[in-house]
Amino acid sequence: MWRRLTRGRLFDPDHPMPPGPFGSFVGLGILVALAVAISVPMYWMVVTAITPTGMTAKFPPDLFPADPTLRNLQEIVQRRHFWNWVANSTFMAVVLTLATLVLGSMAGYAFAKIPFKGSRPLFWLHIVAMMLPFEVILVPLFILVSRMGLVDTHAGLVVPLLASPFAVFLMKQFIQTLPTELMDSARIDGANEFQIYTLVVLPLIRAGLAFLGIITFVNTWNVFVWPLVVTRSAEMRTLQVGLALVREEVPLFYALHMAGAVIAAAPVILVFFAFQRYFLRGVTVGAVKG
Amino acid sequence: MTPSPATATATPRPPRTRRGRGPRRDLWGWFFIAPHLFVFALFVLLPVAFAVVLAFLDYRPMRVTWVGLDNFERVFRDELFGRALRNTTVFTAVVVTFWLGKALLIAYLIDPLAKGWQTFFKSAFYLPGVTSSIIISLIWLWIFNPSFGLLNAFIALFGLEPVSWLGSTRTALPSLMAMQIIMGGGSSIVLLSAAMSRIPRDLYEVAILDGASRGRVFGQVVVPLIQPTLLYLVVTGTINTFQVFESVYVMTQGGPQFATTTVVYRIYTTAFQRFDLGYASAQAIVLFAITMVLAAIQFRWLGRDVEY
Amino acid sequence: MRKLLLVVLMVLVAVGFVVPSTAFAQSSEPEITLTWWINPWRIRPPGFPADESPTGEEFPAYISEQFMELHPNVTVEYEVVPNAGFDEKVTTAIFAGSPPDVLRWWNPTWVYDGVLEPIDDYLTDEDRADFIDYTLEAGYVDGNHYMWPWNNSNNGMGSTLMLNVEAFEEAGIPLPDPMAGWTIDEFMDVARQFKDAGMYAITLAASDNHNMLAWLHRFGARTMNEEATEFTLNSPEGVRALQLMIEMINIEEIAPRGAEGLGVYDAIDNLHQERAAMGYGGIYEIGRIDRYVKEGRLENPLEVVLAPFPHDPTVGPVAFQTSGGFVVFRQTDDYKRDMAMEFARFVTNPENIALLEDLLYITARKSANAQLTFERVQAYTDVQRQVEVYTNAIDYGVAYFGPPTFDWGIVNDFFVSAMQAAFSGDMSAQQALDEFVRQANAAAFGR
Repeated sequence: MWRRLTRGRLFDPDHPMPPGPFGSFVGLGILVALAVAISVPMYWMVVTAITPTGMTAKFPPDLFPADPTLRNLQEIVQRRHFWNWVANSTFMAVVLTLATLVLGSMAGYAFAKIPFKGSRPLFWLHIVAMMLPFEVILVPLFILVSRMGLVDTHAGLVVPLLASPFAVFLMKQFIQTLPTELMDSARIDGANEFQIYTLVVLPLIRAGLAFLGIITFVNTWNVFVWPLVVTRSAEMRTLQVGLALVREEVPLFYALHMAGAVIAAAPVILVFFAFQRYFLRGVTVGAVKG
Repeated sequence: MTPSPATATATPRPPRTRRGRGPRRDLWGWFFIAPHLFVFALFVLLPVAFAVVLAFLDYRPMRVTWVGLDNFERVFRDELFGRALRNTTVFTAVVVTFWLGKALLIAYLIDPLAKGWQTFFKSAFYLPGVTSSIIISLIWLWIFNPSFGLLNAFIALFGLEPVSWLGSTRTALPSLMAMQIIMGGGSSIVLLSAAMSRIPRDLYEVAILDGASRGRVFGQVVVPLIQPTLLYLVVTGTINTFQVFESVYVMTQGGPQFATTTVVYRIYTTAFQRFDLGYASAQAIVLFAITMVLAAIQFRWLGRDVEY
Repeated sequence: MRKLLLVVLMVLVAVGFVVPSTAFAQSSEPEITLTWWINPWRIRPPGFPADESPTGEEFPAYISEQFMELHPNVTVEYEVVPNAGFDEKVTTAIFAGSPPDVLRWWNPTWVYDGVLEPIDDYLTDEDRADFIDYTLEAGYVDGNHYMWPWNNSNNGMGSTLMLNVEAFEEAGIPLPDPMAGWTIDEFMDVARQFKDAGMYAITLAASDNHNMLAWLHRFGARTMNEEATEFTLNSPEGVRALQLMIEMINIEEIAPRGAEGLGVYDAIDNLHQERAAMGYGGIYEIGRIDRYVKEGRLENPLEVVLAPFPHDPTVGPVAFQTSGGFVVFRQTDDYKRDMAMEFARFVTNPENIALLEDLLYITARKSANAQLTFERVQAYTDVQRQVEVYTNAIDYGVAYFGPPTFDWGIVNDFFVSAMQAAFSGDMSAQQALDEFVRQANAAAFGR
């Protein structure tokens, strides 16, 4: 009776083990509670961004502002160089996402499925590279980049972050789960490795690529210290650096800080919704039939 | 071709065909890796190597002196570093366990839902993570504010006295931990959920036919099959959490009374306020050694090859 | 043929005259670029509308343009560096060998590392006479001066209190005489009356180190000894002061609890929101009220007056002495060094230094200070009077953070930690200060 009611509407009709009524109640209860917990700060962020100034330090806080305003958002967008900031951040994010996807998946494929000489120690080198915090690599990296003449250039913003050990690790894990028989049968059919990579592997890890793409985009969009250190002119600043200056221009002016945060988050949310189809759905390993 | 039942051991490699064996294979391996490797060697390995060498130097803008193991000696004598190490270990152990546990639980609860609901929940859990961590820290700084923060307003509803969350040594680190556990894990949920949905349905049916309970199904079917994903999340989660810095920098500056001082925060003050790059590197290498040991253990525990 | 030779000869001679002279012209006016960095200072340059808020970019832009007009062969590039990440940016630049030519900051470690240029050769007699003594001292290390003084004192933190006039009136409490000052007993009397009236008197905030040190100095304690070889804050006088501060919160209840989790902005906020009758600050803080009112962040424009910190009769008044300025980084080219120094002098010359008036700061030059009128805050207080009170107060200034040769950043964390321990009750006043001295001596002097 329960199953008839919920199957298709609440639960996936094909799932082998949907929960019973009690389990569903508890499970959904937990999900909703956790979702609310994580959403409250975000809700406050958006509400504060549209609160008129002067009202944000009230205690207890209003659930929704009495007269919401878009003025704060306007002020941020009208800031001199704002569109430079956005352009630079976009450039960084797009270039790095594409590069990471290509370089990362190629390397991940090699590590996962091509047992070449030296792959194990090389892979461990990647894991090791993730373990030194950025703070100690900052100065050596900057010295290197400045010797290369890349300070205050778009290349300088991007180039040091091109090779991501996390990306390689993730791709390797994804590709590893694909049955090796697939590749072998393609090899027997006469395909070379590159064809296997593009025609067999890539389509199967679409979800993994989407995932890596989105998290790379998000991380790059939000990075702060490196763009601050490597840029010298106001036109080269990224959005995060620009917003930090805005926050310091008006300390305690929470409404404006949050307006900046909302504007910074907006493009990423758009990217997310554009690609969420690939990102959120799993890909069934259905291609293995026959 | 029916998917082979999941086993915890590596599937035997098919016999090498006459074509494409050995050196030819190696060449292809290097071809795929070459572009990434070039950038990796230049912009990651080189600075990392430099940073490692720094630990043996007293590195000043005008003068560089070799000091051998002196910096490492200092690290072991440094009581503040020891404190930071303890704080960071506690922080990592608690946060990784709970955040990963939470992500696993949520992914498991989401799995049977219809596609639309899945998308809804996954978006709800993922989207907050797209805001920069600096902003999240600022928002929670407000939530924890003793005079007009949301949390104290909330507990006032139950008649409780306001608490100085970030100002008391007893509650400061737990507050940061709670924040990390609540806000973190969005992308892990997505990843785990994707991994779970890739589990072939037949395996479930086999287990159900065998009369397995829900718990056993979880333990014997679900977990082993998402092992590669779990390994990735545990290893990267531990590495990242061990390096916790930004929330401390924005919210507590290591206080109160060093209760929230973490290893990377000490490294930051050493390098950028004391200008002592060599000592900072030595501290980083100690951090690295510990993370390495942890990663090795995790790989051994979760790293066996799994194929469907 | 001879004619041709003559023409060629004449051409050669003409070229011979022209080329060297352009070469000379080149070397007397080489094209150079100067870079300078500054953190955000929201000073309005001349011509900027008075009712708009500056962002912090206008001032450096103005200075740069003015200098370029005076020296057309010099390109001046400025950068406003946010406070968040300032350390990383400057440190990285210094180690990579590409610091800016001029920087608005001071750290004695840079002198010891040999990356700063001494300014003594460039200080004229006029300069030496015009700069207030202790402002030049702030950059004096091992026989040389390294900093061009700019702002004298700070926003008032550690030197003066701000009193909410209306609160005093409503509670029926007379204001203290700001020139004569008031004793600690007199202050506590007033504070208790505010407590009876249902208001806090003042806010104590553990991480607000300027004001914390101000209170600690009340009974004559000093941060370090004369020779600056050890910390002395745990002297009986220091402990007595910290004990008083703890009692102000726990026993007298004239300051809010939870001080271990509060910072300077909480103290400011408490004054603005009229939770406390007194706050901290000088002319700059009066300007903050003006700014917040204009931005709509503060509804009630408070009328305030300044008063010195209360003093102990046996010790006398104590305030905070500090100044900040510009340093010049090491140059390899003589001409560039000359121009960098010229630029640093330009920013701190009497005309430009007076721009600090917009932020209600006192300057490091006597000639400029004589011209300050602080018109903008006339609405909130009798400004001339407050300037008098303030400059009088800082006459008794001491260096809370040790001598200019000492980098307080090494021990700041320990200090804040000790304050937090004392206010939370985790340690007694004696224990907290002992712990601070122990840790600070170890960190700073390796003992």
